[in-house]
Amino acid sequence: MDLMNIIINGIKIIFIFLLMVQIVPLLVWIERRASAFIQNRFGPNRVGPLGLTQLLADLIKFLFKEEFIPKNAKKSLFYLAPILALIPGALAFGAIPLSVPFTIPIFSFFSKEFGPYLIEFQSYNLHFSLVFILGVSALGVYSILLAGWASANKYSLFGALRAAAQVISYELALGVSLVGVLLIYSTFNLQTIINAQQGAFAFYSSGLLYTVSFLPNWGIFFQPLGFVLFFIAIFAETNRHPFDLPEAEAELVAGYHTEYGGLKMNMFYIAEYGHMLVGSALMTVLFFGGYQIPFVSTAEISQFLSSAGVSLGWLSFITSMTLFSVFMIKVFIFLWIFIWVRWTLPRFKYDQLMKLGWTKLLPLGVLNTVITAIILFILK
Amino acid sequence: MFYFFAILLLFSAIIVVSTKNSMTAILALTGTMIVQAFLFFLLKAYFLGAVQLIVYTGAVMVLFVMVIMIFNNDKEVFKIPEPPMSVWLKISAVAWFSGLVSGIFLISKNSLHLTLVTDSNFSNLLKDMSINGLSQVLFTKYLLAFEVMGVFLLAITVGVISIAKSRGGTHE
Amino acid sequence: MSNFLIAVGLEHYLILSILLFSIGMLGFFFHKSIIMLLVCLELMLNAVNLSFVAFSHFANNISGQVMVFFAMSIAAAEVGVGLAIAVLFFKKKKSFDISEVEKIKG
Repeated sequence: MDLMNIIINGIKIIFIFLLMVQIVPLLVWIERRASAFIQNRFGPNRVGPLGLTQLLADLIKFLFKEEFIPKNAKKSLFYLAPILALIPGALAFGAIPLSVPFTIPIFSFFSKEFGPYLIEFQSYNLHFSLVFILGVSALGVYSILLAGWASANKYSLFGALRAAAQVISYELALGVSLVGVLLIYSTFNLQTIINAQQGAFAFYSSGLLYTVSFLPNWGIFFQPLGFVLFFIAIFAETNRHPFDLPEAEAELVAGYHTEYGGLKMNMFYIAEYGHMLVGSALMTVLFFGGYQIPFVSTAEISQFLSSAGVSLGWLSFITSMTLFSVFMIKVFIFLWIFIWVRWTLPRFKYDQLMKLGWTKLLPLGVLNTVITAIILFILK
Repeated sequence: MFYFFAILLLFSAIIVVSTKNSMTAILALTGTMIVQAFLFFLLKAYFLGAVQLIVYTGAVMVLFVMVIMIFNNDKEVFKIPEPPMSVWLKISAVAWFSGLVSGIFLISKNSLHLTLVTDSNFSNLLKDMSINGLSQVLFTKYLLAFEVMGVFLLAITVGVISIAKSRGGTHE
Repeated sequence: MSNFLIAVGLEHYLILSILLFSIGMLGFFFHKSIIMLLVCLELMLNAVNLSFVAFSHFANNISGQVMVFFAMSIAAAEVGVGLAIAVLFFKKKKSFDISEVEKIKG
């Protein structure tokens, strides 16, 4: 770890954080266009090509809005809440591997040689990253609670209380639905989980290897029930439709961010989309092979690239970038599903939400765990 | 690194006990929990640190915050008249802390030379990932305790639900 | 003295733990609200957990972490029950004052 290595890693961390923040305007644009098309409207299409720069115009508007604080609000907490909103999403996204590690070959910089560096395409590779992500994203509820509390507004408080109860309830279902995945791959490290999903569907039974050649070796085929549970729970965790009761317009004006305006409200939006991004990335990593192309292993890709005439120095970098784009495509498919569901399904009632979480998802998750354990025991 | 976290921890703990506002106290306690999770990471107890984040900050403290939020509508509730502290309590507190501080200085002069008994059966488990080692010990040596824990938690769940279902005296 | 400041060992964690514990204890004596009592209890439990993990790390023995694991689950359960009782109590007495508990009968 010399200075250069630290600098490169710092640049990488900043890049990943900016990546997360910069996807948000794109997502807002996709959301508005998609909702428009689903409802047979046009959506924002005036500013720039296809209305893409609409968000830039919006941002300028947000920046010049008046700073407004309600009279009875607790000032420090009122400012603290939107700042806190960003942190959990950013921390969690940093722990997700976006692509294979690549090496930077020896290069000279100001007539000094710098040795080959192995750069991992994630902010930090923890061997307990899955629990870490769960733990950090559990902190997301605090910004909502603080916002609701500090606004000194009934609607905000109700929104915040709803959000807190919902997130606690679904945290359980989320955790239990992941136990099956952990049992199968027997690790908390996301990179190891992704690496186990290469190639075609294969499993060991009493020492013999069985392969099903027409299916990719993805987690969803091992854990279909686990995937469905995780999928539902992540919708509730991110407070998205059809579980967005914390900000149900008909009942609560705008929920916990009723009193927020301008850039402060923007922070909440960024946080919400950030949570969506983390959720989609987790789904991709755990159930859809992460950055792996189906049926193709990483070694085959670099082999293909070298046969196509890519020089050795760039080889690992280009391989990494290819896999990164594959990862982003998968993530965007899930983000699209998030948006699609929002404009298709009606909102739940609050008691229905709680009943679904506690009496359906949680027992099914436990059942999934037990079945997985029994099958693993038999196959062993 | 240790000193940074230690000072942060003590600072937020002092805020917890000294503040008059319950909400501030609880937020400071949340800060304490988070800092402690990082101290666990520092001590290579990664899984425990993550569990600390999930269980304490994610669930327990949220419960506290919710209770405070629900009952803060009438402001008078939390202004319980603090009784004048008895002189003896004050004196004993001051004596206790001065004793502690002097003890710290004594230790710093000549360290304790603690000898620790290492468990040879499980000492190698710490070296690889702490999660594997933890689970191996948890499901072999402490299996009975684990099972008892499960039964205990079930009993707690039933108890809390029965408390919640009871009308609580408002509908007598 | 300087050596003590630089090399962080078991003693440092124990000192931190006992300071945290005493702060919690002090709060426990000085507060009268049920909620604050529970908060101080949590603080003390955390201090003990810290010392457990420190022992486990420096003695190279993982049993300490298992103890913390149990302590955490018990603490979570305790808070659940404690808060439920506090809420019930509040419904009955319209107060979180611990000295009101003396007046409860039957």
